Amino acid sequence: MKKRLISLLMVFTMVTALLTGCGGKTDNTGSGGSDSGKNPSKSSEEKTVVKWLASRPVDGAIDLTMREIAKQYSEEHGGNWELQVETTADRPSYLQKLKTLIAGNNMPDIIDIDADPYCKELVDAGMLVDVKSFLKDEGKYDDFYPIALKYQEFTDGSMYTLPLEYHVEMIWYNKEIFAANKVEVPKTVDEWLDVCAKLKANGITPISVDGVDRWPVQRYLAMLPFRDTGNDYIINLRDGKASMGDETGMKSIKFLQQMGQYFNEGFAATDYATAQSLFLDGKSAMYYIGDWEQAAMLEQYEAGKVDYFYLPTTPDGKTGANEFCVNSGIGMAFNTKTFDEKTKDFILYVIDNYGKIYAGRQQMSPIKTELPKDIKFTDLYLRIQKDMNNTGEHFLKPWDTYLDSGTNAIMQDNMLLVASGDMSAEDFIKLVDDSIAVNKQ
Amino acid sequence: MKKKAGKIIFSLIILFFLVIQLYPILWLFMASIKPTVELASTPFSFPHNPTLMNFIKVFKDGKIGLYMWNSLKVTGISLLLIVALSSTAGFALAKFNFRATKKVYAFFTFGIMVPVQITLIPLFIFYSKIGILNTSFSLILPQVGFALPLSVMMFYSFYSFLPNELLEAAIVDGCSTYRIFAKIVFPLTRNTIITIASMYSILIWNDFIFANTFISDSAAKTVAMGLKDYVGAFGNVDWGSTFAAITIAILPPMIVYFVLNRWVTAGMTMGATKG
Amino acid sequence: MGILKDKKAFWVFLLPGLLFYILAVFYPIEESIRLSFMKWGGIGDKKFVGFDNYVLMFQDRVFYKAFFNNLIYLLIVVSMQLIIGLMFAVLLSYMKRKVTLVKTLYYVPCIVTTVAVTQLFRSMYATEPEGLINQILNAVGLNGLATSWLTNIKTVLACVSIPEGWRFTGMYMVIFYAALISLDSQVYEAAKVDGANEWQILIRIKMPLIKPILLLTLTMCLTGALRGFDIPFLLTSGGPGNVSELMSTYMYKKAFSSNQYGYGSTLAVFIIIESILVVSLLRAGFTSREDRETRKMQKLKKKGRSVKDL
Repeated sequence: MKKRLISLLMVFTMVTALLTGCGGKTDNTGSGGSDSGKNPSKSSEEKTVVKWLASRPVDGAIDLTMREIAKQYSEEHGGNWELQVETTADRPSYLQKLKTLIAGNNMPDIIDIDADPYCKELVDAGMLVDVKSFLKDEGKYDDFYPIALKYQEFTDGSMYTLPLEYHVEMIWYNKEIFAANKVEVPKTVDEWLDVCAKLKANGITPISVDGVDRWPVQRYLAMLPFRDTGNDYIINLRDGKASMGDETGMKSIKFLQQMGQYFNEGFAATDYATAQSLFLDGKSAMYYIGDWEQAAMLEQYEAGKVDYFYLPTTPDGKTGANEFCVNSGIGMAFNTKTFDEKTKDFILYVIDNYGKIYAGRQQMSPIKTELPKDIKFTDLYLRIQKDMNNTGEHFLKPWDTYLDSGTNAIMQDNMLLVASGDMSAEDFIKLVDDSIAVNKQ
Repeated sequence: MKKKAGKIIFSLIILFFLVIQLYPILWLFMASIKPTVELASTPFSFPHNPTLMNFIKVFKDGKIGLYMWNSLKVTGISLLLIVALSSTAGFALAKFNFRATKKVYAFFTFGIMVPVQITLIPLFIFYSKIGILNTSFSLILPQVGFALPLSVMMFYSFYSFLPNELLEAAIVDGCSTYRIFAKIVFPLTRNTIITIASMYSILIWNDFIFANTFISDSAAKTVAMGLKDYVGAFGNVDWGSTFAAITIAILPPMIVYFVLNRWVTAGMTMGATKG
Repeated sequence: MGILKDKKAFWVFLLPGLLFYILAVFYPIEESIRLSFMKWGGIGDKKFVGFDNYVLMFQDRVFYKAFFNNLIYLLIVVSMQLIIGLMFAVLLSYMKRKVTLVKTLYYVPCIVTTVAVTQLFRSMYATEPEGLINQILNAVGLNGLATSWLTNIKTVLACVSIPEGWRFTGMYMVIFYAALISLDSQVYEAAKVDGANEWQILIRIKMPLIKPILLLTLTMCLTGALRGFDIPFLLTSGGPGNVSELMSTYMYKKAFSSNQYGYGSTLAVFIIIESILVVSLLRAGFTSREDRETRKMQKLKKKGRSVKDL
């Protein structure tokens, strides 16, 4: 009988041993890493590990660039330095993880976050480093393109996130379809609607849209208010000073309802890859996406099959033809508690080296840089880069970075119904306005 | 004549259902050898330009092996614990004569109704306090905990079916309680164990939500998390590579299932009927 | 009720499992209940608000929508898993050759990860490029029925329910099949001799005999469906609008997208209470009928005895 009990206990100790074995494994890799820095004089010093919880594509340009810089930096510092990157590109999964970490009082040293109301809460709780004053103090503020930094600002002008990317968004169109249907590239929003109507009448899907990820549809909602007011409307809406139902709001809803008819059927359940493939496969005439997909467009662009145009204008609008959606993506933010001299030193090193390496991967850099001479850039890249240098002072800032997450969820869920004609403007207005009123309390 | 027609209809129905059940595997495999645009624009046709690019990409990343090893570790240890803990707890509840057993049993079964998402934040805070985030154990604890209610229930039903006379005879022979369990009772539970193992191995292998929350170290990532490696900027997903990775990742459970097939179904037979 | 009386052994057997369970499941439940009385955005201090979250919940339009959607979801999933599962188990029990192979293959969908299942169904339901379902409808001339299944507000709820139901049908089928073939054939052979046909045997004899399994699987099914999350969340995350919102997706969104952890916990507490209600009703239904039957039997016996006594 005792034997059994003992063997049972043994099983448990074995299992525990296994478990601690697993637990120890992460430590092992950590120390294994420090061994590789074969510098006897410095190995007595403690190794600095900085954790970056990121939301960038795995092995994408940013991921690779940052790893490369971190490796260089580590080598220059005798190997006693390590950047641990843990990246989850899938945004909902990432945000759930980030929020759990923060709710569990376990914020990493560096995080990725948009300048949204949640970020504002973190700032108000004193958890994030003031990046604007950091850049100014270190004399790095002017190293960045102004719009790339402005995008990261809160409405009050403060800035707590550092941009690592720089994008423009445009409407790609299929030249063959346009020619076959005798339509011209639209200059104004009215012309754009006419083009869509004509294409649709000829049995062609005018625009393919990714409704699953929500943000592409939300851009359509933001287009006319941006043309009329810049970002003022969305700021007023957020602050409860404007209603979804006032003149600009109604215009925005009407535009989405009109455009909705020209989206591919079932767009609300069409995912990113499908929407893009529909366009690339010649099954839709237009597709709204940013420069980050230029690699996917390149082949057909060079073959003269596709081209792009920017957001059309409205007569007497506040914003002009060279003003559209420019963004510098999700930013990097720093934990106040762990932002010490060592981390600062690394970030400055990143700012000095990032632009060149990142641009070398055929990406638009938010940090001003000479293009590396040894790399051949495509015409498409150079053209977009030129466009970006010529943008006006206004730029469309996505609505999801303004709205509190509750309202944003309600708007994003229900705008799909508005676009497909399954919800009336009145209902939508009430939902959005009510939610803003509740969240203002 | 009529009988023969009936037989044919019968076979046809079975076959039809078989097609419905098997189609996803076929589709998954076809999807994994299609180029991206072709996959999205003609998702159901046979591949026109079959390519191994997706698989090459997955193997070139070279992480899938590590992910699978992590999943295997979590799944294996969880299963061991589930069986060890629920076979003993079920035994205690079914075969001991104490007033508390009924209440404790009810307390256990209560757990089958809990949505797992609510545990994320409390467990996370708890883990970070005792410092076991990023370890396999942080996944094993909730996996085992949430499997226990149902598996205790199944063991309990099985033990209730065991005649008490069997135990009485053993007691008369001078066997201790532990010996009765180890020598007489536990060996009889083989089928229940197989039923539980075949159900939970798949559930645990495929879990995403616990892994995503408690693991933030690429060395400890599981397969389900690894699938997110193919998500690009702004929500673009490289489905071809994702499906290639899934095809590779479901191979181990498939092989295990087909090899153990005879025991699994036999186990289910017994486990279920005695359940 | 068992017969063993060794108290120390009892605790040795029970405690490890109980501790694990309390730590992993019960402690978080307790935390959720506590959190459901708080207002907390995940940053800073929690604020005690009494029953505010509960009041809010019962005034929440989406909550009711999610609740009723969940009932429909439950109905579809459970009836698919149980009815189709049972039907095929019965069919299979008449099959003589290759049973093991067929059974094994039927089990396959359970193995595939939800990510793949979701993407497959998304493509099948689509209109552009035309999904399999619409292709079939068009091929058989039912063009009028073709629609964008996941965005049509009339069909979307059913469409997010079906994959979940389909996925585990095979598993329940195997369980039912197992139960059916392990029945003692003598019982129904006798009935056959008495002239009962197959149908009568199935309904009158076999079904009552596997009633415990039906109860167990029904419990598994119901609680599984009440917790159902992955596929609906990945397919539509409750959309368009809240047309396919379920309790679990709504709870998740409130807690993790909107940072309303207090309100999210309130919804979670509701899900737990709801599940307990459903399962205890189910159990009560099953046992009360049993009780009635046994009581009837006892009465009959008594009557018999009293007749004899007379």
